[in-house]
Amino acid sequence: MVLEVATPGRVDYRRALAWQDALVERRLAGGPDTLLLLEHPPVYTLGRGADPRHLGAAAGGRVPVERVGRGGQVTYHGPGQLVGYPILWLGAFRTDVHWYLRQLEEVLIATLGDVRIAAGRRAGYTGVWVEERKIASIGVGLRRWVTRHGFALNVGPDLDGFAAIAPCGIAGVRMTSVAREGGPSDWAAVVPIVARRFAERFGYDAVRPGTERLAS
Amino acid sequence: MPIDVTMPKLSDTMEEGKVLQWLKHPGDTIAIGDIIAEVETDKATMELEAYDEGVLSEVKVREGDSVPVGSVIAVLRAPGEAQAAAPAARAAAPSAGDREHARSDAPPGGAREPAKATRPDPDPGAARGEPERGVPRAEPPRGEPWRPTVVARRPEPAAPASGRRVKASPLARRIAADHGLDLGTIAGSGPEGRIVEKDVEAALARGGEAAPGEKGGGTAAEPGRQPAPEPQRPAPGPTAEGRVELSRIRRTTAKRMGEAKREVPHFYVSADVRMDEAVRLKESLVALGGDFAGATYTHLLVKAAAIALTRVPEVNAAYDGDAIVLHERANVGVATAVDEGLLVPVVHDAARLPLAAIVKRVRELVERAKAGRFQGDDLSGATFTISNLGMFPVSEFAAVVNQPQAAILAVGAIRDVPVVDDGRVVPGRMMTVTLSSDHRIIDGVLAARFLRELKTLLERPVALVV
Repeated sequence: MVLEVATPGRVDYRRALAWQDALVERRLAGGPDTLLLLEHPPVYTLGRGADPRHLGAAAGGRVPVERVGRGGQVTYHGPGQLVGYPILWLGAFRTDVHWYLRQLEEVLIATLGDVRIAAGRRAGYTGVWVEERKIASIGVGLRRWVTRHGFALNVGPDLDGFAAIAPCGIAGVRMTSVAREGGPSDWAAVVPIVARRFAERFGYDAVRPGTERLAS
Repeated sequence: MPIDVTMPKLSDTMEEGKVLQWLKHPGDTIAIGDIIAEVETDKATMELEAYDEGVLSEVKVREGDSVPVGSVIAVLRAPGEAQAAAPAARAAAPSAGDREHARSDAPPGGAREPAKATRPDPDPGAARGEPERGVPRAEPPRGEPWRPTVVARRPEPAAPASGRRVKASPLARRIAADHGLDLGTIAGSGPEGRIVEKDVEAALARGGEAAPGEKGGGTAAEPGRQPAPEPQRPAPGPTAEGRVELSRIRRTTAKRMGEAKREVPHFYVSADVRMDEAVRLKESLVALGGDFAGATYTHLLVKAAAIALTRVPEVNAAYDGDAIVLHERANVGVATAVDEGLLVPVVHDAARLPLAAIVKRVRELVERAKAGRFQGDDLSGATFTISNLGMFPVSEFAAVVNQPQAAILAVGAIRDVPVVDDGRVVPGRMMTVTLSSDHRIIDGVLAARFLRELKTLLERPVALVV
């Protein structure tokens, strides 16, 4: 099986949503699995069932807030954060969403290992942690077992966007990033590592660059 | 008839799920495939699809409530069927206006008590002897495994000849539709005469279309279904001399372009060609007159592309679903604009035609195209297409592959630009060509080799004249 990896750079959140919808439809029509790796201009997002109170001071601020069809509570995306949207059909793997969440965690843990950061899971708190600090968030949506949304790995050192909110609905959680844990501060450097670890974990035979021009 | 919609089991380790949002409400008519709600477990949401049709008569769980896997969260009934809901159940059904109110009451991240009105009926589907209802079925998305044959959208379920809606499970419907089987001809063994998957499989085995099996060769070993029927391709024009109705042209073009963009994984490779020699050649030919009067760059391009196709034969190809078909002759189509749209008349066996013959043929074709009169195989049999916008100030562009061909060449204008010759900057004439290719048939290296041959031929164009 082939994985298409597309790295469109910095993409507006809504445009990326439209791309994901198109890619989900493409997958449902028989197209290949795709992994989008990109970053967003500052935005807060809320999962479908998220409690808006976790937005805190961010509600009504300048940074846009989007409510979207993924699990999980509130989070922040912004420059310096590597966001990944795998559009896969789980039917080819296991139709088990918890399994899928664990796989995403393992991909990120392996990636962090490659940049010499010892990260791991915390039972009951989906995401990737370095000790008690959270370095990556995960939230996915499924349509007919095709995945969308995905993960966000903090890379750059700037975490101010998280200050206003209760990230993932957990009050008092400390966020961290690859740069803050001693790794590279450029998210683009992490992109090929994530792509490789992702392809390995899901067992793709080949990875090819996404050549489709994604129309919004 | 009431059909229970249950909280699906989305994971081996999932014990309960939360209803995040009802997308349909009591009284709504539900069709198969409608999304009725979004449910959540851990950090994943799933769009809950309806597997039956009917009217949503009761919603048993409020938005934000978590219930055990297998609990009934909603009930579908046939239109007009009496509702036997207890008052308590009705009170639990949220109305649209309550949604925000209910959510603001929720403690953060909260699992609340399950709605009191119902106690879950564990897996009611099992009692019916059918696969669990409400579980998002792990069926391959349409068209899986992915093959390059054309499958544009899910075909409508076969309507039985009697016109009566036949009861069948969604999986049975899909299998029947995929094989073009009329559900009206199948006896159902499920409850109330419902047709289930094994009934359809049995009908297929008895002598409907052959059941899916291994396909040899072609794509890497994946079991394949029977290829979907070929989409209707428009007839390329009358076989006897006659007048093509021009009003059809735009419709046909639109349909084919849409299909090509949806189905063909395009990729694009460009090259810059030094046209100085070609310009000199063309001007000499025109000055010669006779057979060469009216020679254009398009004629040179047709010949050059045809020869390049004989040198890189994998680009002169088509895909028939199982194998790549290499054509023996290079039949080059020339995209031509007429009042009513786009036509592609064809120069057959262009690699073996002398340039003079190509000039004559293309001139005749273009005249006939503009007059709307075609004959014989004017519009059929192309194995490759050229689209030349060089007569406009177009520096480069990318064309849409003309299915079932493997590639199309888009040609821009010849521009006077500075070029480097022997380390010195001199004026030169550059033309950018872009090859759009079907990545199922050819890959980057083949496209690049084709362009290299084309460029070589155009930059030393004497070979084109013979």
